[in-house]
Amino acid sequence: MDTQKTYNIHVREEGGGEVLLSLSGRIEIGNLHLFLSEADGLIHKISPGSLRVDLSRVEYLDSAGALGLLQMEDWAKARSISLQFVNMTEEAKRIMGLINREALSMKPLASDKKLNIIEQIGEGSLKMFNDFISIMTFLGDLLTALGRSFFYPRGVRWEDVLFYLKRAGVEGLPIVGLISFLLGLIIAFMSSLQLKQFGASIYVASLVGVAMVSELGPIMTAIIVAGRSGSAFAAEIGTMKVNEEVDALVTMGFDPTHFLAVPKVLAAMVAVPVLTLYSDFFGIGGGLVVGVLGLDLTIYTYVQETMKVISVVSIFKSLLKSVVFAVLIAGIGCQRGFQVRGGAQAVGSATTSAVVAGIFLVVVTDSAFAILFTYI
Amino acid sequence: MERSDRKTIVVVENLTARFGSNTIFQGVSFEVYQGEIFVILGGSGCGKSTLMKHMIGLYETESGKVMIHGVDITKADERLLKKIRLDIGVAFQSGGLFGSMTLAENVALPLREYTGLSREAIDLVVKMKLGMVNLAGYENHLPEELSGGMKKRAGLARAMALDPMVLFFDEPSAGLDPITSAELDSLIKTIRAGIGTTIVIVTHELQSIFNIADRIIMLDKAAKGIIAEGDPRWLRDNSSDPRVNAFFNRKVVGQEG
Repeated sequence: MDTQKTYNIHVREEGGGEVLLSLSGRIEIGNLHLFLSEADGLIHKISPGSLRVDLSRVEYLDSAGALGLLQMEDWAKARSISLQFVNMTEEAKRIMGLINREALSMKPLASDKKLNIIEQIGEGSLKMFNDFISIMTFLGDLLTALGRSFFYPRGVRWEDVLFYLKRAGVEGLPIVGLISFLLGLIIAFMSSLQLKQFGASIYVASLVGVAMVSELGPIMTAIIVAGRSGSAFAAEIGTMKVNEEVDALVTMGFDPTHFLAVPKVLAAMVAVPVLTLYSDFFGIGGGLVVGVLGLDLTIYTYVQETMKVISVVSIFKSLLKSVVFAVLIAGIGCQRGFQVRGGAQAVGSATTSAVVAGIFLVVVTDSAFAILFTYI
Repeated sequence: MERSDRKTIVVVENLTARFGSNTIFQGVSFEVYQGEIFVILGGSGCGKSTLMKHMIGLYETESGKVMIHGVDITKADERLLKKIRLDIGVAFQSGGLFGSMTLAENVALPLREYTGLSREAIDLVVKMKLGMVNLAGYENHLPEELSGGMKKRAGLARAMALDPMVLFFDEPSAGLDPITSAELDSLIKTIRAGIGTTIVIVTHELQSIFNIADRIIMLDKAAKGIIAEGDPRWLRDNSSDPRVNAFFNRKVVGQEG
């Protein structure tokens, strides 16, 4: 729409302080602001005793135009000028009758006041506290439901478990493999630059092996799964929440945690350790490529060196960690999903929060494991 | 009747809608006159919402024409289509409000985008539009804080933001209690009386139809097209078509077989 002026105001003094304003043309939404400022200026400038507004030559008046006329009347009234509309058409009368004048001056029922810094800190702390409570409550629910599934495995929706196993596990394999392979390659390459100076290139194998198995394998896998599946779980449950599907489950006598979260968590508990093993394997493979092509080691030596540092215990530790990561990632994904209230935007923020909180928890837990494994 | 001297604003000619090999309706033709309240009705699954979505250019048509204000929207290019879209307003079944914006922001969106109005003027127009649908004071509320009927009214306020020539309203009474539904009906009538907007409504709510419709067309699933057209009150009392009769008098069709 254009903002051209499509109306005209003609001013005629009629003596005795009376002024006649003749409006013509189209008074419509496209030029409402021009009309308002011009009318305001005119009333201000002329400041007549009484004002008559002639509408006979107005070609078109929409609701915004009518609003402009009413606004003009209000301004006149505020300056105690008597204002009268003359030659008003039936249509103009009807359209002006549509406007609820009280609505224009009504205060909003809800304030859009911004919080000050102290209120913000308070709000933030309360939110964190509530978040903590709800995570703990959910964790309790989840562990109870998992425990029940352990004793009554027939109650678990195994077809769902298989479905999520495929989603989170099988479909995640290529990206986990690729990233781990490149990671192994990079570590081997960067460390070889240093170790070469001491003629200790052979230690690249053990370095990559230890790094992948004890730290990078589990962590990288957990991060990828958090991004791929934790977010998907949150979005799925969140959307179900918005569509009242979760409420439907409750009314049918199902426990949403058992019905929706347990299959996802169980699937992740199987998928993540397997993916971690793959990750270790591909990472070492990446190191092997650098070792053989760049450092003139034979495949046999490289594998031998790797085997020396990797024990069954270390692999077991790696798997134990990844099972815990799986519970955290899938659990937080489901929990954020269940927290969704409202619409599309809430689903989006739940998804983001699932990934961020998932990765955060994984890293924190990994530090705890590092200390635990060192002293035990 | 007095039809010949009235201006048509929407013309649908020989419209056929198809999803894959499934024909929803075919050869549908009718006209909507300026300033009337026109209702598209029919049983569930007869394609009345599909017809409306064709009329507002959301779906591509298989064949046929939809003319709004003399422009065939089935053949119009993007630019022309955009211009026509400013002349129509659509109120959706559950409001279609953006959940992340307050009511004021929802209504202000088309005003910000398509008019050069100043901030103050926009605020004023938003207040007026919300007042028009009896939602004065709800500027800063989010859609999720509103009841179903309020959401519909807010959707109506947004659809009316630019004073469109034609307003399309999908299922205004669906999911509302009789009182809220009657309020919405009278609101629709008030808007038509005040601004003279042509209003096209999709509904199957009988009371609402008798209350507000000037003219209706009735679609039928089996006939894949229009089976009745005219004044609903006249059709109720005089139609000889058993399907039309059954609909208006809430009977089961073909009970005897």
